[in-house]
Amino acid sequence: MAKPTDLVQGTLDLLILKTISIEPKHGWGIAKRIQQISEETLQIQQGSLYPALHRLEQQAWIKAEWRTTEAGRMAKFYSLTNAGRKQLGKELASWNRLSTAINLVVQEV
Amino acid sequence: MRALDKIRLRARSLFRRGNVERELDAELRFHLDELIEENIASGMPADEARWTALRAIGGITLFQEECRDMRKMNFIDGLWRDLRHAARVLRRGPGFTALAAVTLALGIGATTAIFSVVYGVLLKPLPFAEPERLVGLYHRGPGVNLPVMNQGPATYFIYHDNQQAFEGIGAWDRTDVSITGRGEPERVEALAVTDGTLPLLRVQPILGRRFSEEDAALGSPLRVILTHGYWQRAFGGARDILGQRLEIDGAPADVVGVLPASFRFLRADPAILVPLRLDRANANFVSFGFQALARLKPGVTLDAANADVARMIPIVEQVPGHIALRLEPNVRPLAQDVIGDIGRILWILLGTVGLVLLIACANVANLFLVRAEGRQQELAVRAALGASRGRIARELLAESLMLGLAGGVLGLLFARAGIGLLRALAPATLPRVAEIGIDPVVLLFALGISVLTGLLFGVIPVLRLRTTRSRTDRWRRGQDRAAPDRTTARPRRPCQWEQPARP
Repeated sequence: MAKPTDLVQGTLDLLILKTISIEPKHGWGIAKRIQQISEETLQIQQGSLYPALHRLEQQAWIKAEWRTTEAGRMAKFYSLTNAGRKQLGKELASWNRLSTAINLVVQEV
Repeated sequence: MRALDKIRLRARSLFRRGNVERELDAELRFHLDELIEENIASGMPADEARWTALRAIGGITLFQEECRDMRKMNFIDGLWRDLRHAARVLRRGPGFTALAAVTLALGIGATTAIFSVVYGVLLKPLPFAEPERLVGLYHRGPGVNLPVMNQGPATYFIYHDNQQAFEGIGAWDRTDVSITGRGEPERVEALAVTDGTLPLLRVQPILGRRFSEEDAALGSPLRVILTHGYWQRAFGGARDILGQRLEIDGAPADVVGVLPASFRFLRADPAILVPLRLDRANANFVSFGFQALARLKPGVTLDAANADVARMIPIVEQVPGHIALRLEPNVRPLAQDVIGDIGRILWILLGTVGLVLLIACANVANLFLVRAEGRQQELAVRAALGASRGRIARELLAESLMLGLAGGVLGLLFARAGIGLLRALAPATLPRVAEIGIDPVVLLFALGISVLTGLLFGVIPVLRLRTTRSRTDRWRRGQDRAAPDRTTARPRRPCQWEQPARP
């Protein structure tokens, strides 16, 4: 199981921002979504997910509100702010740069 | 916009603590419940599903703590807790605390008292508008071996008529006069000024007017301006004072004005101001008998002012007798007229008490180290229970800061007593004694050095904390309290240098 420390530094922020850019999600939903999309490769631990969410909220990149889930329970839903959308763009760009660079190195024959 | 959001969130974390905590709880509970449901859905019995979920989630409190950290809550929370803890620890050892606080208080008190003198005498700006543009006009006279020469009628009129660097030049002189004709005769200090002097200082009378050109002319009736203190003392602050008559050295003089209470003039403490009357027709010989001040035109530097005076000196040298003096310009900040040569002595004094404060710090640091030695076990247990080194360091620093502040408060009391004593004993050569006192700047200084000393002697035990080899090792050793080994004895040594210097 990939621990968050195995993730490249700062990647978790990118994953979270990207995941909630489509629609607001609660913490559990974010973790599940990342797990599904990554075909079970990325398992986000609660112990890193929630502190990251609180940090991003504190940065005013995401905002939280309490809403009812489909099952009728109250949960804290996170969505992107405008600043967060800009930040996502920045992080995506830098991720692309980084992954391209790493690919160049590891694929060199 | 984003900055505003951030502030709002911080404020919420700080002031709506209950809400934030409840939300955090509910949020994690939701996550846990989802996990349990997932487990049940995958076919586990309810109990097992619950246990598996709890195991998977791990230490909830730990990451609740992390969430709080992210909200920067722990910093403020922790600061408060550290301070309370520090107060408790300090109360537990009243003897140690009192000793350390008094040691610091003596150092801080002495430093603050001397600083208040340095500030009041040297640093506080002169009580005039834009004092940095005020200069004293002097000369050097190498021809007669005088480093400071003042002004005479010849130089005054020549500079007055030809200068370009100044807004104006005002001459002044101090004299003692007798005042008669009103009950008991009195000998008071008088300040004689030309009509340009008060306007240059931007001093405005609270009653009446300043001296006019006519008042300063030879042969016109004598006029006088009272200082606030003398007006109160001799006339009980009577509002109908203007036009009343005094006899100054036997000559009748009409009161034309009263100065504000805030008026101070350099080192003089005059009761009355009279016009300084200079005779242009009689300015043809060597005489240096009074002072002059000037206000630089905006943007004119001291160097430019000196150059301007240098330009005019050849004109002065046409007056008989002056060439032999080999006059050189010596235009200097007016503040120097007040301070004189006392400046260097005061700085040296401040440096000296600063050293005393350092020694006090070193002594308290030693006390701290000795005590920290006795607390190794407590610290080791706390480290073993999961307190990070930063956390323990913060607690130690909080203790020393608190002690520093306590020393500061006590020191201020010492300083107040000291300043009272200093003002009573101040030699007549110490100018501006009335300006010395505990004002906001001095308070700020005392606070600053209290915090600084707290950090200074507090950081030494903290550094020692870092040299600790391994916590468990220390803990084990703490249990049998063996004699300290070399690692514990070594770092105390750097503080022993000051012992012979202890006063």
